[in-house]
Amino acid sequence: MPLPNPSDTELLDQFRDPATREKAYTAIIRKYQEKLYWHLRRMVVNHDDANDVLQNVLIRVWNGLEKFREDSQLYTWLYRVATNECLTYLEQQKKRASVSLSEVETGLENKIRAEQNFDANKLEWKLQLAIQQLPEKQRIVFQLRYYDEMPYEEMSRVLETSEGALKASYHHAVKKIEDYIKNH
Amino acid sequence: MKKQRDIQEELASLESTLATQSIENVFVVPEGYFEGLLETVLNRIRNQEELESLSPLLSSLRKQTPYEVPAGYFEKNIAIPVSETKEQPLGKPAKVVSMGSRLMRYAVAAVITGAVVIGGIRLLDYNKSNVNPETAIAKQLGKDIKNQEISKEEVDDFLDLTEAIAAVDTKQEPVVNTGNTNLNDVSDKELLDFMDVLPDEMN
Repeated sequence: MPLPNPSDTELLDQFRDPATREKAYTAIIRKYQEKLYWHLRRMVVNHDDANDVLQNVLIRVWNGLEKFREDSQLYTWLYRVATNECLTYLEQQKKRASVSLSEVETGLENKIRAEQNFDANKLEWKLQLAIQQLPEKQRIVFQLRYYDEMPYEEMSRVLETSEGALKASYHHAVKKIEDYIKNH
Repeated sequence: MKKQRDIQEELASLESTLATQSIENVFVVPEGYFEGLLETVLNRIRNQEELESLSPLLSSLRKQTPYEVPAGYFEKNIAIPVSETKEQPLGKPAKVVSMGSRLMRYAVAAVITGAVVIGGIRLLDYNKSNVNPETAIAKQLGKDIKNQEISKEEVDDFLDLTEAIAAVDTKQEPVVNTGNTNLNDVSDKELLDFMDVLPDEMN
């Protein structure tokens, strides 16, 4: 009979013990790496960029997990680390290119068009293009809600924003996406 | 499942067509990516910890090269315009000789050799100009004794003499002629006696 998977709390306890630290870290990353990857990939579009950001996130997790106080769920904390790292990355790209954020978004749109299997006529790809038209924060809210199915309560912990503001942001985002798809 | 239903219901309440659309992932991930990711990250962590233990200062620095590349540099230099490429004549293809790498090797070797030679010359000059005379004399003396050009007795005599001179030198007060002789502690009588002793033309 296979052993049941340890809970996040058990994994965190193991992480705090130097003898089992790496083993616990491995288990935590195996559990959440794909979710984090897709969260980042939808934000930065390109695989190489997502890989760079994710590696940085996972190193931050290693360095910061010991101090994690378990006020929130591990999953929420991981999303917060990933979101912040991603925003920093996008900000750096903006500075490096000395362009405005809207130009970064145009760059993201170009990246989508350069993706393998891209088909401008397919609704799924149109949706990706529509998402990239959204302002950064709205884009994160939409992705977390639509793809990650994150409840507003958890999202408010990740983004440190009130549930009401997040709900309004999501509704605006849906309307804008709807308009984009209808007009393209 | 419940979460997904909530989200679909929310989208339906917004009368969005997204409510009826299945959530499909369109992006592609390289094969085996997630299997190798963890090992890559653990290697980076081990490197980081190694550097932390060796040099906390270095590990705290961001690994960012501060240099800047002119805008469009790589585009200009990597992509050779088609118009600039010469067409090869038909027939036997020309032999490809990688001159670039060989020339580069020679150039690097020449630079290194030059640097070593110049460094050697400068080092010799430096040593010459920084010779300690005492050390040099001692070395020469050592050689002469070894070659029996100077006898041990001669050396002993010389050493005795230099010690005697050194002893006298250190006992004597240094004579500093400042040109400003202080006669405050000389009595008037002594001065008058001194004047009497002096030849007439000096008075």
